[in-house]
Amino acid sequence: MNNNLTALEEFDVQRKIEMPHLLHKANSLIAKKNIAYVVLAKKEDEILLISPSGFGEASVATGLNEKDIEYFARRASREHKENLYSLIANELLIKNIWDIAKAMDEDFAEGSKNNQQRVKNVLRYIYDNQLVFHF
Amino acid sequence: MATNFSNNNYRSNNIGPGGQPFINNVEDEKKRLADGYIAVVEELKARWNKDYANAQIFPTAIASIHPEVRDFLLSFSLVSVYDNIAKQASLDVKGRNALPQVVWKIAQEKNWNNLDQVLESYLPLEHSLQIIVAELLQKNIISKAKMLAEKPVARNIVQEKNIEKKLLQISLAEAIEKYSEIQQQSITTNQIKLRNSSLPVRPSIKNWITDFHASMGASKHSPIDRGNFLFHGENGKNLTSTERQKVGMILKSLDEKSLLTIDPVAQAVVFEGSQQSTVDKINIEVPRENIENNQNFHFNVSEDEISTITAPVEDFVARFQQKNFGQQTQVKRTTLPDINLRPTQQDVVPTSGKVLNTPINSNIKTQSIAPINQSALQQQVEKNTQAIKKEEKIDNFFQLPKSKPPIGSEDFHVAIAPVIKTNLIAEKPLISKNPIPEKTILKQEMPTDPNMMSDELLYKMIQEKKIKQLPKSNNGYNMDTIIFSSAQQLPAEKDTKNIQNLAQQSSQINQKNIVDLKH
Repeated sequence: MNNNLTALEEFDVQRKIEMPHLLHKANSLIAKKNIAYVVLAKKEDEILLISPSGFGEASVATGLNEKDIEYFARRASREHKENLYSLIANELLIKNIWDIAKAMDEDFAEGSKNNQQRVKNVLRYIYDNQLVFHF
Repeated sequence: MATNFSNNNYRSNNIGPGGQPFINNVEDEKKRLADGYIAVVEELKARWNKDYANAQIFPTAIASIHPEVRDFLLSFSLVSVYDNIAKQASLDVKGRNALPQVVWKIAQEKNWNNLDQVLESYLPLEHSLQIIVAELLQKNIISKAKMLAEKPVARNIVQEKNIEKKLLQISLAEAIEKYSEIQQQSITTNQIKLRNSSLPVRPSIKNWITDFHASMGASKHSPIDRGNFLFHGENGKNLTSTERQKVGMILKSLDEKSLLTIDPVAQAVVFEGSQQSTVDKINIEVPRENIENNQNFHFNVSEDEISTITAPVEDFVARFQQKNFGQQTQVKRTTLPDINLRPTQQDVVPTSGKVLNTPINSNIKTQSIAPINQSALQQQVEKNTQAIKKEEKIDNFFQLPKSKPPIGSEDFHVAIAPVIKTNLIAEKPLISKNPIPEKTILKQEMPTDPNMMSDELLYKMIQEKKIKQLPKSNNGYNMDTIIFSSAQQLPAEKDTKNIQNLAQQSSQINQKNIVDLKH
């Protein structure tokens, strides 16, 4: 398929789509939060384009919303699902997810818990349907 | 991924006199990037669909659930439904988490009326509370899932049909241009050797074309050229008929632009004919008009199997018919070994579409015959061919090999070679420690005319004449007639050596006697 991008631009776009978890090298909360925002901005069908290893990252999981996870549960491959399930089965990584969600809420108005509620719903959905995620 | 490198000039166009980009071009730039992003996403989606076309999405137990029930249970809205049920029944977190497990368990077992028992096993509650939870689950989830489960499964079949319909009929060149992965499709089994490569390579379409062009040139070829390549080429001569057919289709499409069936999703050439030959079965009917009640025999044999089976079968039938009808007075009729699968079919071996006019065995019954196992059929064919070979061996066992005509002789001809008649067939083995009785030795009628003699007889006659002409020793042995074939002694040569020793001893005794007499 032809597009009007240069090779460098195309590589940049492709990296952003397939490996958003590698966009920021620093392992800081801010970097993770930025990655979560990138994932949150994606449409549900673009979520599946993230490489399976990306779903093992807390920052990517934090960026998922309700529509994304439903779409993911119905269409993602075993590899994608197992990575996500192994992530939420790890208590330390769950704590990371909550930290990122809190940090995201802090960017908005004081007392906002939209992102935390979203993450809670997503995790609840995965727990409810763990038979689909755990092979 | 295709990239347009020619669009790098946009930068020079966007830069103004002061080195700053033109503001009016920023919007165009954003639009270009946005369009490019969408194009890349679409491209990656197409690739993802191809890569994960056959990926496992659900565990086996979940995949067996009705698709619509599965979709319903995976809807995100059920999270809040479970929350509400837990709230109404005053369940704790553990109780709330058990609810989806109960629903999935019922959906997997498809036991929609067994809610109470499953609920009790997962969530032991008071009876009244359990009734409330069961009612809420039944009302909000189970009843709807049950309704969906009763719908016929048509979704996957429709999807599969749509996929099947998407096959394209295009030439090879067009297919390679559109779907470059087609070149890498392997069309034969064994690796092939290319002229410019020392190591064997994968039998992909690309490599076959490379080999074809290297062998026959890159210009357009005639069917004869392709035939020569397929049957006499270094790689082509090793192919099976099915593989040769595949390569032939590819080369024909390459030369004559004939249409191939292409699967655009899998990016592969679909060889319909070869697939049918291995998948489809041919129903062979062998009507036997001579059999009572006009019985028909049905065999399910694939085309490939027929090619391997019919050759020995036809050979067997030809021999069998010749023996039974052509030489009925000379040869005793062969009794074939019994077949458990076909106890009444000893006289007939069915072939593809042929009716055998063999006499009917009076023992043939009119009962229906079960379909024959293919492997059993092959075994039977092998048995029959072995029986014939065995019989032939017995017939030719005592025949002496015919002598070859001498080089350069014009008089001798095979047709006038002496006929060797066996007066008596010996039952004992020819090689035996005991002396063979004279009457059991094969006797030959010696022809009187030398022109009628074979080389062997002539040679023997000349040797006998020589022996007669030579002076005999006192003990009766002629030393010149003893021939040593090789340094390595054979058992027969050992005897000749003993004879030689005896002759030497006797000559020494004779000389001694002569000396004594002289004295």
